[in-house]
Amino acid sequence: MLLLAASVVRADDGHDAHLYAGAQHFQAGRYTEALVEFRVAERLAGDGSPTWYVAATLVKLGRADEALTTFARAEASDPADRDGLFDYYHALACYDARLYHCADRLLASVGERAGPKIAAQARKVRDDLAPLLAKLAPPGAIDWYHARAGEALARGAPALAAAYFEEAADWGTARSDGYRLGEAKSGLARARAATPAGGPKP
Amino acid sequence: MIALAGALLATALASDPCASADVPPPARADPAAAALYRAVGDEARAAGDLPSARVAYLEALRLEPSAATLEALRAACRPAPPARAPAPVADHYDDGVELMQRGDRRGAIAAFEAARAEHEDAATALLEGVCAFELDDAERARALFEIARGHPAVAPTASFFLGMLALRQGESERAAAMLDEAGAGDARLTASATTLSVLARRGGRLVVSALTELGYDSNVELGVREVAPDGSVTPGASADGSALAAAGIAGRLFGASGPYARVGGQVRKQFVISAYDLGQASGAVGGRLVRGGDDVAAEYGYDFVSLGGAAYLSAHRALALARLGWGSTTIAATYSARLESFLTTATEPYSGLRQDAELDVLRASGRAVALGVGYHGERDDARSHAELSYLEHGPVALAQLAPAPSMRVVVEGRFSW
Repeated sequence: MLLLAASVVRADDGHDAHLYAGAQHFQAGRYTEALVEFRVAERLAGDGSPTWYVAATLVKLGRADEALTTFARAEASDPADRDGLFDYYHALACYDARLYHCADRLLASVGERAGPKIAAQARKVRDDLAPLLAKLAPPGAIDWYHARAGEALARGAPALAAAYFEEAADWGTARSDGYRLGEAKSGLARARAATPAGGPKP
Repeated sequence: MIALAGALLATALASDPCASADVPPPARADPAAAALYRAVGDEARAAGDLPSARVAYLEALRLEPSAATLEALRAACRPAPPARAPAPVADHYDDGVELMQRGDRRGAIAAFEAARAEHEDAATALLEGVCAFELDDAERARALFEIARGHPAVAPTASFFLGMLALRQGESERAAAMLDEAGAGDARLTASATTLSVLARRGGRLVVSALTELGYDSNVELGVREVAPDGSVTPGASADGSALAAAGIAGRLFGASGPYARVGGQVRKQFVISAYDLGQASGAVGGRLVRGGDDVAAEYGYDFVSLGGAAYLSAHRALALARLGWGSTTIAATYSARLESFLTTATEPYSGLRQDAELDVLRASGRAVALGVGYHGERDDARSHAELSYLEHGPVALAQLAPAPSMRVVVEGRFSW
């Protein structure tokens, strides 16, 4: 959490005070208050940097689907601010949403960039994931990802749908019968095409 | 104006159930910042995130007391109407449980489906999966158990049923993994899961078995026993002990479906009557396809038997079997052929081709009762002695009863001519 506070101090436009206030709430475990401050900062900022903090806070609030959508928005609008710590929170959101391949990919990229403590935690989560990823997903599990992707598309969350389709494709690729793999890939392309381009939230 | 606003806020915070006693006093008025918080509050409220909305509205009020923001805060503090009425969910769930307890599994599945359509729930998925499992709908059951497995509270039970399902479908490795997971997750399941896991491991990709045995037969030659003058029966001269050693190895590297091979043999040594020493070696290669409740297999095998240290029988075997299910109806067909070459002078006339075929149709009524009819035929063509050949055929009737989960009674009747 210190990293989060330290990294927001460098901001010097109109949203800095709100980012800093949000970081203080975040450190103190007052995540709802932190979310409000980060959302205000998001409205004031000229770029998408506060969106990363909004996403991380949503992870702490246990709102994984919203966090995933918000991380996708942050990545599209402000890719430069992505760092190891945000990747770690993003991985936790993936894990909470049962997007295990997504979590593993992000944790692999965390490395030492987020500091030794987060790197160690990332390694531990990856170790926990390894036996799960070594298994083949049964058709029922892949159906579940397709269903979630379909629900996300229906409620206008294409970035979230893309995440579920991508996971379905990952599991489908691992199976010798490529269960619903073509469907997952076409769904992924469709969801990505429907995802709005980056830019700070109005 | 500031004093009026302060009074308004104080009144609001004092009268509102959401008001927090430690909310800081009104700050310097900042309408622009207040508008931002108000906008964040509105957005959160619209998204159903009432805790964030309350925090944002309170902050907006602190920066600029306003009747409109106050009203918005009060609205955010009112309990949100349920997005979906919970009662129908509970009703469908309760209906499902009741139907399940009455044994109406199809009705229960419909009720659980209705409950899940309104609100996905792991416990409901688990119970629906159990119903599907009991109706032998493996695909549906597996999908439902996977849903339930995602929720820690019911995950061990779901894993247990996934293990049972895998065991039933011949996926021994998956069965063992699921059952171990179930046993580790819930102590109440440990004993049953461990027993079944051991059973699953016996059906692994490579199975090696060995057996030794010491025995005693009071009449090895099946001779007439001697009756003493007092009427007591003595074992006779052919009583003998024996030692047996058997070993086998079976491999099916791709699991239940795919090619397989096995070789095995046994040696039985009589302690005294060495003419009855038995040696036997056999091997087989085949292929099997298991999908859902369907099972198709074909096999070639070879047997060699020695008796009393001399070659007795050499036989080539072929086997084909199929078991196909449509709902509660199962059709099973088997065909086997054995080209037998007896290698002693006394038994050589029996050498020839022996064939056996049977077709059965079985219909299950629930899980407790299954009734079936079939037809069976057997033909033995002695190669050089036609008088030793025969043909038998006739109907078969069978009943399978499962009066208790751990008990199975099979009754079979045949009539041949």
